[in-house]
Amino acid sequence: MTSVIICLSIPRYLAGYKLVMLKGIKKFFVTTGEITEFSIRYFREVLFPPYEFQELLKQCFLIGNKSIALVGSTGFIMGIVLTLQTRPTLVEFGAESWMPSMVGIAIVREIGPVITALICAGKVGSGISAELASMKVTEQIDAMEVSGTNPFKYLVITRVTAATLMLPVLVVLADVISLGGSALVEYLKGGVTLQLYFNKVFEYLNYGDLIPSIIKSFFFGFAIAIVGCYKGFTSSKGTEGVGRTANEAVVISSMLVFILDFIAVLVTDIFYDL
Amino acid sequence: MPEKGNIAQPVIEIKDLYKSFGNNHVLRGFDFILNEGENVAVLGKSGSGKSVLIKCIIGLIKIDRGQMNVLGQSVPDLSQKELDAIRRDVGFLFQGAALYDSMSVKENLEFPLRRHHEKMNGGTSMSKRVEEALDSVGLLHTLHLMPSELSGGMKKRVALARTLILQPKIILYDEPTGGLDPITGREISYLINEVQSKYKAAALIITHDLVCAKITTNRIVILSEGKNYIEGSYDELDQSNDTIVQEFFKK
Repeated sequence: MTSVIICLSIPRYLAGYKLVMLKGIKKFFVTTGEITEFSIRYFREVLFPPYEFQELLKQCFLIGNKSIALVGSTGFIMGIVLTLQTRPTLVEFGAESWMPSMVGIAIVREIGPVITALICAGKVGSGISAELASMKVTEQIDAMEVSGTNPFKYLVITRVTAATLMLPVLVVLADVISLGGSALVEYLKGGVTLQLYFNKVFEYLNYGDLIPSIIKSFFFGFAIAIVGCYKGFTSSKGTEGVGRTANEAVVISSMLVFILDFIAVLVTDIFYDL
Repeated sequence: MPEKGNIAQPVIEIKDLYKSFGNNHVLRGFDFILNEGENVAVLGKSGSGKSVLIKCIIGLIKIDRGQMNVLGQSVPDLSQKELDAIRRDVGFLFQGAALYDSMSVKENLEFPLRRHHEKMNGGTSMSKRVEEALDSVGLLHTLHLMPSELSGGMKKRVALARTLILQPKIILYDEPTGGLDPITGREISYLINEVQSKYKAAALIITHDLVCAKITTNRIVILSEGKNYIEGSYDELDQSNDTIVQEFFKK
């Protein structure tokens, strides 16, 4: 009898899962479409006055300056850990002299930009979405509109532009501090001087490593902020929605960072082959 | 109030206004006129569409059907630029005050002035205007405080000062005493009266607080089932035997 009930209920469960899946797919496409539309609106409005320079500078300070400590300390730890983890293997093959160049290329090309972007997705992306969502819930965005200010220009364009400009700066900072952490380990473990370490790093690093990494950082910054702004601007369901919005912004922007990184690596690879 | 002998011009004219959200038909043929210098309250139950009505007036919500003229211009037909121009002359006091959390009280008040330089006539400096507006609501000492440091009543007063700073011709109040204790609510109502007489603006007050309506207005419109059900002075409605009116006025 029990097995008959189970057999009969399977199609119902499958239908339920199918419905949930279809809803998920639909939500994915709707969100993708809306974020694209939001991005298009950004490019349509960013070039035209009025320009909110004061707010842009404020946001550059908040996004850039206020993230220095977190990005710096994470970068430093990242450099130390990467060197400590890699060193035994290189020592085993008698290749420890390759450490600076290997760590340098890994940090500058990949680890620096991606880790910095993920930290910013957590700190900046969630901050922007929670701030805008709470402004929406408390009618502050409406109040702005009523006072004759375009909230999209004042809130979205300034934040997205600031994040796009500041992320590459943070990435360079994270790279430098990270290499500093790696140099410290090399000095303590292998007696390599700071000068020798950085000479080795720059011997193998070239513009082909640095420029693609900087360019993709602009895209990371843009993606993180546009998703944060989109989620904040379209937030609903009151104060409960504020937390949910911040969470969704972090998830989507982190995913976007990996997708953009994948595309960037593919494109860079084409250029390397040429 | 308009002087005797002068014919007051309508500043807001609404005719046959319809607004729905999906299957929820909020406004169903609402008619209304607000004259120059007049204070009118719109009473209605929660969810009856009072807030939707004033958001339609200021252009925050687009109407489905009907006519809506504000200061002689048809709001639904205005471009964004024209709408912004109208908004200079229409103040809006939000239900939750809607002060910008990231700005101090001073910056909150300066914000609309920075947007509308043309309102900075007469050579008065921005700081002076801010101080005057804050002084008119009795909160000059809060100039450098952040909104989070203010009580609910103080937030409403600061929001009122921010509304007044552009010296609007019409002020829309969305539940000005909502969420306040009866004493603070009464203080806000008297303050509304004071600023009305000082700034000579017409006022549309959305409320379900009868004390506020009695203190601040000379005409009350009852919004029921999306329409203006009845209107009259406080005393007229208080003596009405109509069941819906009595729901509001029963002691």
